Amino acid sequence: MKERIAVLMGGRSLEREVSIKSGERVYDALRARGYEATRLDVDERLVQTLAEERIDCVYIALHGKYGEDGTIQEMLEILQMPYTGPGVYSSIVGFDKVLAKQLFAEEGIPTPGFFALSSEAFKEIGASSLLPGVVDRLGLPIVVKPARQGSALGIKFAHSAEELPNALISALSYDHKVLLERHVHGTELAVSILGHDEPKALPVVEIVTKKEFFDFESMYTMGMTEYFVPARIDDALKSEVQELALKVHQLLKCRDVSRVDMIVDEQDGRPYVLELNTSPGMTETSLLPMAAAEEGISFEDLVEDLVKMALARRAR
Amino acid sequence: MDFDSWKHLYAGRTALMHSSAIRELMAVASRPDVIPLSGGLPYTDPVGYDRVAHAAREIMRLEGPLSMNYGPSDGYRPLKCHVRQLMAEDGMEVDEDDILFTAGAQQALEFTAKIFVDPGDVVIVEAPAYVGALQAFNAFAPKFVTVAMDDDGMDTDLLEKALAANRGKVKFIYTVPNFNNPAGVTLSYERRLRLLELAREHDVLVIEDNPYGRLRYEGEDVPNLRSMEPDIVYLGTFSKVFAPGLRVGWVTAPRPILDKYMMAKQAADLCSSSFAMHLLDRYFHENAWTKNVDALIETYRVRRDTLLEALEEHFPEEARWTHPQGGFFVWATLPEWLNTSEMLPRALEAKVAYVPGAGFYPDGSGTNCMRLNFSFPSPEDIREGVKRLGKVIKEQMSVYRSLFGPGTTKKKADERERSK
Repeated sequence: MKERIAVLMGGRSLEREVSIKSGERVYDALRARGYEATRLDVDERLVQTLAEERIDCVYIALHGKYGEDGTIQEMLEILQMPYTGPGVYSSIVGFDKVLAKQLFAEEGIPTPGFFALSSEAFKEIGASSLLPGVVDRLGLPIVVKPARQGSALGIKFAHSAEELPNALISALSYDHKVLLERHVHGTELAVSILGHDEPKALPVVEIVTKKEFFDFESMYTMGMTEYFVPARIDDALKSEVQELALKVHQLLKCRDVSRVDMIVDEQDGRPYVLELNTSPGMTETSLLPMAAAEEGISFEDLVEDLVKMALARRAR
Repeated sequence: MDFDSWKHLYAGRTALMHSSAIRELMAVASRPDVIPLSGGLPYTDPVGYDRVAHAAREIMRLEGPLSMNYGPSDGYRPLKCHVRQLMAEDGMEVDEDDILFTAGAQQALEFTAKIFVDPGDVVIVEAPAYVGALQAFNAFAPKFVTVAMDDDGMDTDLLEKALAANRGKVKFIYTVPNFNNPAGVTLSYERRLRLLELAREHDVLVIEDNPYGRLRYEGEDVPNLRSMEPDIVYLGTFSKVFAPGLRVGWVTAPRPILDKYMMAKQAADLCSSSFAMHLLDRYFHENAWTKNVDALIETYRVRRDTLLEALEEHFPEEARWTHPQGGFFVWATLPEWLNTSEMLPRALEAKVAYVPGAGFYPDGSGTNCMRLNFSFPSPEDIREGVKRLGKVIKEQMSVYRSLFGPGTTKKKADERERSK
C-alpha cells in the first residue's frame, strides 16, 4: 500500500456540503490509486486524530473559512504535516478578496475598480454617507461581496443607489468586511494552474450562466450552467489570460494548484481578474477537474499529482 | 460541455425543483455544534425501544408471512380499529372502509395535489403554510392564494374575500387548524364553523391536516373540522404521537374521493409497509399508547415554556411571537425591514439555526419571520440557543441602523404603511 492520506472534508464553514462532495470524490480517487485514505471532519480532536492515525499527508478538501483561509494550513505547519495546495500566506491573501485585489492593484494586475468597507466603518464612522460617492466612482451596477466567503454566497447586485444598502446587508451577514466592485459585463473565464517546479496553465474554461451571475445555484445545479472547454476565445486572448493567471498565481506565492477567475470586458475586450482560489472545488460540476480532463489529466491523476507534490515536501 | 445531457427530457414541472443556497445553509444546521431551533423532529424515546423490539419479535412469531408480504392497498385492517378508536375519541366517526393508510400524511399531501390540481387551479392555503404541503402541491403547478392568520388561526373574513375573488377556480382549502406548523396558532371554534360554511357555499373541498391535535399543553380541545362535517378530507398520522420512523399516516374522505386516493396509492407504492402497520397494531395491543402521549406532552410542555421564557428574556422588544397551546413551533415576527433569510449565516456563525419565514409563503413574503422549534432540543439548549439568537438579531438590527440611519427604519416602516 502507498502512504496514509487523511482527506479533510466537511469542516465548519458554510460550504460544508460542497466540501463533503469534493472530499468524497477525492477519497474514492485515492483509494482507487492504492493509497490508505481516511476521511476526517474538522473538530476539536483533529490534532489528536492526525497523530493517532499516523497520517503521512493531509489532502485539504475544505472550502471556506478555516480550511481555505490559512487556519488549517498554519496548524499543519506547526505539526510539520505535509498538506496539499498552497501555503499559509497564499491562503490568507487568496481567500480575502479585498486583500487580493489590493495586491492586484499595487502590482498592475487588471481588476475591476473597487472599494472596501466594513460594518465597523458603518457603525463607528458613519460610512453610509459615503455610499452615493461610491456609486459615482464605480458606476452601476455594483457587485457587493463579502470579503471572505466562497461559492458566491452573500453576493448581491445593486442596480441602483437605493439597492445598495440591502446588498450590503446581505454581504455583511457573511463577513464584516465587504467589497464593492464595478460590475464588468462580459465572458466569464476560469483558468486553473497546476504543477510545482513548472506550474502550467490548464485549458481555459468559459462559463455561461442563465442567471444574472454565476451564483450558488448556477455552480452546483447540474444543467443550469453551460461550460465551454476550451473557451471560445481566439489564441491571442487565450495566451494572454493563461499568462495573466500564472502571474497571479506567482504573485500570491502559490504552489501546486490554484484557480483564477476572470471576466473579459465586452466593451474593451480586456481580461480583468476577479479572484484567485487556493482550494478549488472538486465536485462533479467543478472547474478545475474539468480543465484537467481537457488536458488529458483524469480526476484520479489530478488527485494523485496533488498528493505527490505534497509528499515531496516531507522532511527527510 | 453540459453536466446534464438529459435536460431536454425532464418534464416542465421539474423546473420547480432546484438546489438552493438556503437549503445548503440549512444543512449546516445539522452540524453537532449548532443548536437546531430549526428542526421539527419529535422526541421518540417515550415509545420505549425495548417495547418496540418486543412487538417486532411478536409479529415475526405470529404474523411473519403476512407482515413480510404485500398487503391490501388500503392497509392492514386491524390497525384501522386503532385509528377508528383514536378518531372516535376526537368526536369523529369513521368506518374501516373510510380509511386509507399512506406513507405518512406527507404522501397523502402529494396524492391530494395529484388528484385535484390541474395547472393553474387555485388552492387556498394559510399564510404562513406548512412547507411540506407547499412542496407537495407545487409540483402540480397550482395558483396559490394565501389567507393570513392571527392568534386565532386563519382569518375567515379574508377567506371569504379570497373565495369571492376566485369564484369557480378554487379546488380546495388546505388547513392545519391545531397548533399550526409553522405558526403555532389554533383555529378558533367560531372560525371553524365559518370555514365550513364558506366551503359549502362556494362548493370547495376542505383538506384538514391534523398531526399535532393530541399534543395539547394548555387550554381546551377544539372540535376537529371532520367531527363537525364528515364530507371533508382528513389527514392523520402516527408520526408525532408515536414516532415518524415507521412512516404510517392515513387519509379519510368521502368514498368517491377515497377511491381516487386509493388509485394514487396503488400507483405510488402498491401499499404501505406491511411490517410497519403490523408492528404498530401489535404495539398498540401491548401498550396503552396514550401513556406515550402523556409522557410526550409533559416533555414538550417544559420545552415550550422554556422557549417562551427565553424569548421574553433575550429577544428585542420590537419582536413578537405566537403562544402555541400545543404542537412543536413558535412563530416569531421581527421588524418588517429585517430579512431573516439574509440573517441566517450570521446565526449559523453564532451556532444557532432557525427556519427563515420566507419558505412558508408561496410568494416569498414573510421575510421578517422565523419558525422556532422546541420539540427536539433539550431545555438547556433551547435557553442557550435563544440567547445566541437574540444577540444575533440585536447585532443585525444595529447593522441595519448603521446603514440606513437611525431614523430611517421608522421611515421605511411608515412608507410601507402608506403604500398599503
